[in-house]
Amino acid sequence: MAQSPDSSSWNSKTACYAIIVILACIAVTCLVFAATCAGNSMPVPCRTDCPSGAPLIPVFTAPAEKIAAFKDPLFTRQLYAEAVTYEPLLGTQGTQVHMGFWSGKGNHGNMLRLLDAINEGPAALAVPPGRAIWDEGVNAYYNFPSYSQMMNEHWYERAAGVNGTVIVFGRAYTDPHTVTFAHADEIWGQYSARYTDMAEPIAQATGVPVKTWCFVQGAKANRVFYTYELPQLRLLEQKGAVEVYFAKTPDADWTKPEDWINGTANAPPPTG
Amino acid sequence: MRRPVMPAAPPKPNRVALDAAFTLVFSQGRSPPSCPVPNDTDLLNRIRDKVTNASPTECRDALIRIQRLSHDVYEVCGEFREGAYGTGEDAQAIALSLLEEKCPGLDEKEYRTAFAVGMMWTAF
Repeated sequence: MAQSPDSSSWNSKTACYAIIVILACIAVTCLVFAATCAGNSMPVPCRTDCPSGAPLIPVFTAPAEKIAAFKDPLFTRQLYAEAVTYEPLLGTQGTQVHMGFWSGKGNHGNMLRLLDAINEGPAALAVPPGRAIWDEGVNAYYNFPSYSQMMNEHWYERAAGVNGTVIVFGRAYTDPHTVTFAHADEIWGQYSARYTDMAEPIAQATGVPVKTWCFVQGAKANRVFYTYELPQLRLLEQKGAVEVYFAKTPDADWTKPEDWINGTANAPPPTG
Repeated sequence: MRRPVMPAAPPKPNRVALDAAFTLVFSQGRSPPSCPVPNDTDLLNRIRDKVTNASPTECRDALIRIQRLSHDVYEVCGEFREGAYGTGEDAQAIALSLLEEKCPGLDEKEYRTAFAVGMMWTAF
């Protein structure tokens, strides 16, 4: 049946009203949603200078409490559990696990390069696979939660505080505890010792001694490696849990035996 | 007789670019400046992304200044650890003033942050 001109006009008006109503509904929904978000403290739209990620809030743990926790061998089990949660292959029979160590200027970057060469090279896809970790995490990207927690505790910023006022991310805070550089050094040292000890549960789980790669050229005797990590490596080596290699040059290649010195008995002497 | 040409005064740093460079280099955890990732180009791009109204030259100047600070703070903190500035309460103040002397143009909070990060870098 053909529509009359009047009927067509009515339909056009109805369509217009319908569109207006739909648009109004969308606008109201958006306003309600925005108000709800604001009420739930949703983040405001970010300007270009907004930091990315969650806000970084310092944690003021007491240094004595932290040192006691890290001296406890149970912390090694905790760190191992974190590692296996992130990378189950670290606790799987047959995996060749590599652990990185570094000390001294420039060696952090050298260690990082070796870590990536293993985790992103042919060794990662070999059968059985290889995996490389360091004290920061299970690779160059995913940190251990315990490591992240320690970073959030800002031990060195707190040790550098003046009259109880510490500067963290440019903001001033009052620290409820007195923290010294000796505290900060011991906290990081004990953490590093327990990280080293993690080679034992890894070797037990995989059935393969852990290969440990050390970039320590130019490192000083009174820093973390020679004070906390090397003594643990010696003990683990005696137990057969680790094989220890020291880089001869900053660009030592882990696949080239001639680039490395073997065994803690042949550890390069520290400087200073 | 030709008058000797005086060297041009170094350009005044762009404060916003300097802050952006400082945050990038000194808020990246414990990685010392030797860390190859991120590299200089990546850092420069990040500064330019953050400070869009600064010129490329200003961004580059800011990165150079902060990288110099990151190297100087490593040396100063190493000397601080060896007791080169004494062992009393004044030792830290001496280290901070030396940093300011070597790398002028930052504020007190930034020197203190740089010093704390340097102490972490040199612990390992």
